[in-house]
Amino acid sequence: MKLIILDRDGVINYDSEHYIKSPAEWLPIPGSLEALAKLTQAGWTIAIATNQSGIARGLYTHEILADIHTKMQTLVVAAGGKIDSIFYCPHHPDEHCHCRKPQPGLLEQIAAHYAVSLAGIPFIGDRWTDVETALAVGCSPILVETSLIKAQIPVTEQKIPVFTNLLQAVNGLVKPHW
Amino acid sequence: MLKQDLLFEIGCEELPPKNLKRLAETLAYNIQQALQKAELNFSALQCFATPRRLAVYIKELASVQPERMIERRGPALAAAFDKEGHPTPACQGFAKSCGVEVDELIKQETEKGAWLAFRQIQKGQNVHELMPELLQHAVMALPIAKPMRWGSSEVQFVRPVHWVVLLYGNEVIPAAILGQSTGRISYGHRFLHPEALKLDTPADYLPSLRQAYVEPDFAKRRELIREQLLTLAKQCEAQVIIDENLLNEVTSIVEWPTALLCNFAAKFLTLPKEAIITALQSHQKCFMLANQQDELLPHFITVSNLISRDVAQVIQGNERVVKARLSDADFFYQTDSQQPLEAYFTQLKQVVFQEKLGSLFHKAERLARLCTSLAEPLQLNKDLAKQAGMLAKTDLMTQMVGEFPELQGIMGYYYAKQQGQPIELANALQEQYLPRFSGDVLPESSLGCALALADRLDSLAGMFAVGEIPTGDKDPFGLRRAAVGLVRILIEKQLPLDLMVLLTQALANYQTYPNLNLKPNLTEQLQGFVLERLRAWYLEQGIATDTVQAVFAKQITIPYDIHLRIQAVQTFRVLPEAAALAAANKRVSNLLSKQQNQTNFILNEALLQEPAEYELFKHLQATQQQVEPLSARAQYGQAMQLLAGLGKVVDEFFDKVMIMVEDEPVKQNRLALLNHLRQLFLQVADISLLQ
Repeated sequence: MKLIILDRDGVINYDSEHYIKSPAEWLPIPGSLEALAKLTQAGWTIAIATNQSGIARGLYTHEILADIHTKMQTLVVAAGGKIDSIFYCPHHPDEHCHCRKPQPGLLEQIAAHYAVSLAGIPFIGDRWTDVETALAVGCSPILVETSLIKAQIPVTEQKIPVFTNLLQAVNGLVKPHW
Repeated sequence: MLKQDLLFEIGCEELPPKNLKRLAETLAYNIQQALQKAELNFSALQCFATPRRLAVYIKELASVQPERMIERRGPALAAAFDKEGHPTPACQGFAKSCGVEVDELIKQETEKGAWLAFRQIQKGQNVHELMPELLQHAVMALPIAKPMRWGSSEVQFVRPVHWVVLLYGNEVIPAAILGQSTGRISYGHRFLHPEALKLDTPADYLPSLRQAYVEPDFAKRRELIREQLLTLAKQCEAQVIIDENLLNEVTSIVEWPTALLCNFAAKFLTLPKEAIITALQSHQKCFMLANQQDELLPHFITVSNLISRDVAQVIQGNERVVKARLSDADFFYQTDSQQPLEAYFTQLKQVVFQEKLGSLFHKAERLARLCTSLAEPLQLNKDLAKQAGMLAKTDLMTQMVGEFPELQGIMGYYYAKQQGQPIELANALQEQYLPRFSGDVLPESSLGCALALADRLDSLAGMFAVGEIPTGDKDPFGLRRAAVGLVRILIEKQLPLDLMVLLTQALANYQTYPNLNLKPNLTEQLQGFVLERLRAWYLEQGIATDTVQAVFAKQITIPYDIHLRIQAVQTFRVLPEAAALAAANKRVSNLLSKQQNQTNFILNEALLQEPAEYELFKHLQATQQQVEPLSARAQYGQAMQLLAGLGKVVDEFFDKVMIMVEDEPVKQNRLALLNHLRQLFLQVADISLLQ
């Protein structure tokens, strides 16, 4: 099985400092639906790992998040792709849970769900915390530049691949260099 | 002042019938505007139009323009003369610009001081001087798509011009218009009265022409035809099918109408009704007859342009032509019927829909896919939906549609029905083209809606993918119309489908096309285009701009949902509380937008101090309980009603409670309370945008 893990906000859809509180606010970044379709058609299983502290902040409920994800999945399917599973952390940063990225909890849940090793599994995120999370569990981090906040890459970690957006990143994966 | 009638007539070769009426009306309008601008008074203006002439009759036209007082203000008196009383350069300059000496200028006293001024009475020009140029301009301003040139002259007009009459009273106003010298000679009917008609005065126009077998009045001629049609129909106890467009067209091709009743062989009545009507109406300009049950009869009425000496021969001639037409149609129909619609797939593959978008067969495959995905939300049988998509364009390959393109869809219906396809499918093939124009009916069946949606979605996606995006007036593929059709079906059929999903599906169909380079933001672009048409559609229907803005601010992509919200806002805004609540929302929105941290408003009940703020809090809580389930079920009207009930406590709050207080936690708490209020209204629309 070819598994790939993606962050959601700032990778698939536009992130917002006001949080994505309703389906209407969930707007795909141009090309991202197409990218997910390409991945699916190339045989990848797509899992999502996303921090959703908006729930703990009382900005939206689990049900509304489910509606948002229904919209996302509907659009992805319409474009010819499929998201296999979504793992999210509903906690507030102050709760110091194990699942909020950069803690590895979400990725470990995914590993358990698919019963696979995380070693070498691509993880596409938009923030440096995503890279840290990936490195902590042995995933191969990939950064996209569609973030709200530009990821600060430490000088020592210059070999992390960076793409302008998800579509570019996926083009790299679907057509490997030879 | 002298007033006389004026007649202006342009005689030419047979004018294009489809534009005739508009051409004459525009000419009259242009002249009327020009006369008003020139301040030439008249009591009435009438236009005439026949296939060979455009004319305008102006009743009681003043012979001269009224005198006009021209007044110009110059420099202030103080600045016009120096201390010794000599005119300054400013004064001299002004006088020079008016073409007079300084002592001819006058003083003008106003409240603000005295000025030097120039006043002159300009004598009016007379009709003889004014009309030639005025008419020339009115003629030049006619909307003529393809002007003609004739002979060796440089003059251009819609058709070659043979004579121009320009009479004012009993005098000709000499001029050269459209390459002809104006005169008083007109001509009668081309065959019944080809001789010249000398007109002494404009009043001679109507009687002379009528004697010369021309009815120049368009409306009168049309009613004359209608009368003749009804009389003939009555004679054979039938009703005549009068299509007003056809009646106008026939009126535009005859000067002296004579309706004649003709027959065709009853065996042709086995042809589809629409095929007979198309063959006879749009191709032969004939009127059809039907019995009381709306079934066609083997008769038709042709309107001839003259009284024939041998009527029988005219009838025979018409019947011969019609028989040939119907025999052709019959042959095509029989040939087409011999093979199933699926058999046309091979031909569909050979017809290019668009260079980069493949053949019509590719289009059919895309339609089939879109219809399949529409099957679930529209509660359709998946296989049938797919079949409808595959067969949608097959009738375009039939001989019948090749001969009569107007029958697209209609023939699909007949052939599908004949071949035992389910009736839903046959209906859908016909309904896929609805709505054809603004205000047209929508498909009745769900399958018809699915196919109509699919066809429009595919065209929009495909044309945007190849970059054929409408700009300005240019919309060669009718994409604006397609977009309006799309949203109208979604709204009026109450289909809560998401445009973003539909357009993504439509574009996904093109993902694998080798010659297409799909831009990543195409879905957004398309969605913006369709929503922009929806916005324009609302404005055309007289929905207030701010209502539309309040709802569109929510950035919703489900047209039906948008529609429900628009209705809710419309009913809300007539409520007595509406204006105050809109103002309150605007105030809150302004207050909140100035705050740095807009997401972390946390409402703390313990920090509520004033009774009015506690009251608002309580009401907000209670209303939220009721509004949330309503808005989740899209019952926005009821939600807005409940929200309007907050009017009093909101007023009270703003009256009694100071928001920006020194105590930071209390201030933050009040802002949080207001944010709560705003979020509650935002469930339906951003009413802060209401004016």
